Amino acid sequence: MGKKNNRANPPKPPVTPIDGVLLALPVVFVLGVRTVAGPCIHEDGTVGACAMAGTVLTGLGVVAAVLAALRLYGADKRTRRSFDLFLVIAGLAMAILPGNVLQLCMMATMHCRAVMLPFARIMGVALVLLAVACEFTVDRDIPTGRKRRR
Amino acid sequence: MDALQLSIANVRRHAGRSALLATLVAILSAALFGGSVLVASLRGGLENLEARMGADVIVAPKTAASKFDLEEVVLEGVPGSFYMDASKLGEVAQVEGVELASPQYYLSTMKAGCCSFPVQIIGIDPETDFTIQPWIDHAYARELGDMDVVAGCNVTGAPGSDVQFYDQTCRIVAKLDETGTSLDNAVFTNVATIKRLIAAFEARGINTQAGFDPENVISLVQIKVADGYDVQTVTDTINLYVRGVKAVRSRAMTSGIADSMAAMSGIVRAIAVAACVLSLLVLAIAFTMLGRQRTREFAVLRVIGASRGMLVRIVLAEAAIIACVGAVAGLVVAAACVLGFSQALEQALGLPFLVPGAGTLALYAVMALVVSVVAGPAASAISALRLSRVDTGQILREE
Repeated sequence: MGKKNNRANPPKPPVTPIDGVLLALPVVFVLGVRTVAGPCIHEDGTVGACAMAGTVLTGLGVVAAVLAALRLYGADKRTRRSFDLFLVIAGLAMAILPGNVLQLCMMATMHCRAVMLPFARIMGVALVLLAVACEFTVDRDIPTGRKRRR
Repeated sequence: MDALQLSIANVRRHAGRSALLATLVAILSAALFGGSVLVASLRGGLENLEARMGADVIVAPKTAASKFDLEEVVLEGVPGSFYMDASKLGEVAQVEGVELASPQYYLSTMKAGCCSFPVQIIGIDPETDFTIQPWIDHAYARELGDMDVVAGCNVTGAPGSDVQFYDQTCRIVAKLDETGTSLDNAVFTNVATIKRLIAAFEARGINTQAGFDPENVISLVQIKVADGYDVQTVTDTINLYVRGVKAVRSRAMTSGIADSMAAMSGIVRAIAVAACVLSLLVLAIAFTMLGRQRTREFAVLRVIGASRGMLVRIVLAEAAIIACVGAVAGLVVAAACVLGFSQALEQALGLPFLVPGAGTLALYAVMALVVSVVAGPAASAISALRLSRVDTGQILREE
């Protein structure tokens, strides 16, 4: 009886510390971009070219945080693998978009280039590495969806 | 199962304990690498600044010297616009002991392209300039044409792109290599172009030094003193006989920065050494405490046939694995912080800052890795020896 129940409702995979870090990273990123590592603040109150980059990065961070939270509910390996893949894409976007696709201010000494850009690159790369690490370490004990019988 | 396999299994089984120990090694590695790179960057910045200060004496208008901090404008690149009559160049050049005298023109912008950030535009006379022209020659061997500018490495804009200053369109023809000094934040051009820009600046009516003829002004005179003459004497003579100017020895300007740099390097070194010593101490204490907790585990290993040598190898291998992981992690974090945020660090310190080349960085990385990896087994050596000498029978009887 107990076995049948387990097959119908497979136990949720355990939440490991690395899952927690993967969830915390985008949250820290969003907080950083909205506070100390945000776009330039002009004295006259006008919005610079980097403001759009700040908004897009915030959006990417929020999306990554939601993905990292949702992946905890992924009951099988394939679902988690999909979330990990999306997180890798989000991390790459954080690292690559600012300065290349998203316009930043003119001087390398300005806050957006001196702080926001390296912050986004470091956090983006860290997110990619963590998502890949999750793929290789945590997910290996979770059964694949195909093998599970309902 | 050999000692290495057993050590790997132990590290994986006690992930939390291993992570804590690896964090201590990471702090050691990060302090070593980060501290070394910070000190080397400060030293590199100062060396570049002194190389750039080819002039022995700098002559500025007296009004500018009282209004601006010349050290900030000339050395730290704080933008400023100030002028004196061009005839002062001739007067200064006639002072005994002056070998070379070259004018410079300073103009700061209020807006540059996309963003409200003042950029210092420096006009030089390529025929007579001996301070900036050698740096420009490295990046752009040809003569600067009309409305051509050479941008410092911190000014965004690729060679060939246009940039607007006071509604005048200039073309970036080259970018300077990074110097770690205020040159990185400035834009350089020839006399004809800077005069057009000064005229455009004057036409806007935002100049506080009203009533000057843009064609007949200069901002600074850079002076090289002839051999056999005392620089201080020449400086005093200019201050005495040329009216309306203030001559300053460039060495006096850089000495303040050198003092600040020495103090900052001392602080960085002290913090790095303190972090290293503390990490090593805590590591040694942690391994000793762990060794005491694991006496029963090692007694059991002895009972099932492990030799004393194997016990030592297990402890040392565990420490080495943890140290390797921690050292690499610390190195990556320190490199990301110091290299990624080098621009922010430079601004926060307010000192010339030039990150060393890849070769030097690799050398510092290897040094930090070797020291950190050796530190782990070294800290656990005493614990390993003590564990290998456990009295198996007594320990098992006590349990």
